[in-house]
Amino acid sequence: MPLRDMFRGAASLADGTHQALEPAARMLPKLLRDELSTAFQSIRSTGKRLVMTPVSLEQIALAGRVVQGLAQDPAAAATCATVIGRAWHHLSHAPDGKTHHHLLSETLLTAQLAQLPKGVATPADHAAQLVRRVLDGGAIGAAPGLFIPLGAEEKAEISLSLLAITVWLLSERCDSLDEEDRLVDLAAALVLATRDDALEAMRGETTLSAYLARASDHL
Amino acid sequence: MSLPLTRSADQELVHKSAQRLRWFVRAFETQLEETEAETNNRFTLDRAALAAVFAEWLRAFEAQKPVSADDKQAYVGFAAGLMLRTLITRKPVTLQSCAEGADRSNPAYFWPEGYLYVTYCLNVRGTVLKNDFHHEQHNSPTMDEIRTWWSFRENVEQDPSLAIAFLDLFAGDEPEWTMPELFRSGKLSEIASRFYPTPTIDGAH
Repeated sequence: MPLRDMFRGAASLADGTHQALEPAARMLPKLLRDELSTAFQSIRSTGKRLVMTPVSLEQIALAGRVVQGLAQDPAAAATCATVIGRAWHHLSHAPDGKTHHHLLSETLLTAQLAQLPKGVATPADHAAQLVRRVLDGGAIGAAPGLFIPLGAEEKAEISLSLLAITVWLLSERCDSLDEEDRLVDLAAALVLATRDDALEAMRGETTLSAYLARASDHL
Repeated sequence: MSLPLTRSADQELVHKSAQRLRWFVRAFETQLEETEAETNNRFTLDRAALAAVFAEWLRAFEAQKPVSADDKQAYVGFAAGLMLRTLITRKPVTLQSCAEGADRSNPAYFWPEGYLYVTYCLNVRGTVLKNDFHHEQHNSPTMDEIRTWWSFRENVEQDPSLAIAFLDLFAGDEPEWTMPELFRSGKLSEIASRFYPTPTIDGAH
């Protein structure tokens, strides 16, 4: 398991454990409580900092080509997984407080991206297959790879975030990383604004492909 | 208003760029900044609501998009009106503070959010018409008349679709007060005028 997946797990575990221990921690003396809180905060911030690998504009462009089916070698798949992982982290720590706590495994994602069928008709068709594979393959969840059942709302939340990232990677590239970050946020806002259409489109690959093509065209 | 640049690679037309969320948000933010500087009013912008405005507008825009090339210019005005209607309904902007000692008989202070929405829609409308259709928009003096703004605000609260007709009025065009939410192609408009008299602005009260 690559280091980033491990750090991601540690940071998430610290989040959950801290929240779970909060009621019991109130019984501790203030000094001890503060130290415990600082320790959790430290694990959390170190883990999250290490998860956030910087990516370049070239890597984002390559990830876009992978999503469209124009690049399919293992190195490109790994880069694409890193870029998707960074976008996932970015969306899960949005300043509006609408954070999700699901984890994404870059290792599983890379494997799934490398196995996508070649020669698919259009970029949107290829992207639709990618979304389906990733969701069915369990690369995202409470514990990726373990296929822990998720509630309908959690599944919808994961699907919408992945759709937003896919729409972003299918769309035209920006000139700076700041603009790319902003565009991921806009893609998420667009997908949320069309939430019903997006979830309805998830019922089939043709409808999903049409949704992705339309949303990325208008992003 | 300085609107964002369109894609230089293929010299994309402004009306095409305006159908993209990134352009729409950037243009709206630019308008907001310029209106704040001009009026000293301060606004807060809900970006998620702005994205919802765009998505709803796009749906309405595509639903009546004309097939005939002859109708494209007329559709620019209609599409801008649809945008104004959606902004007024969804309210993505909230007034944070009004300029001190502001004259409430000035539309910018009478209804600051409405003024911002109208200015944005008028500017995009004028820019698209000028750049893509070589047509100059001459805004009407009613844009500065408080009586018209009273009527505008009161009417759109009851029927937001009247925003489409009011925007035409502000832009110096002939408003369609009867069922303004329906786009009439050149031919249909001609037929309709035989059956419906053309009401004046008082008809909208």
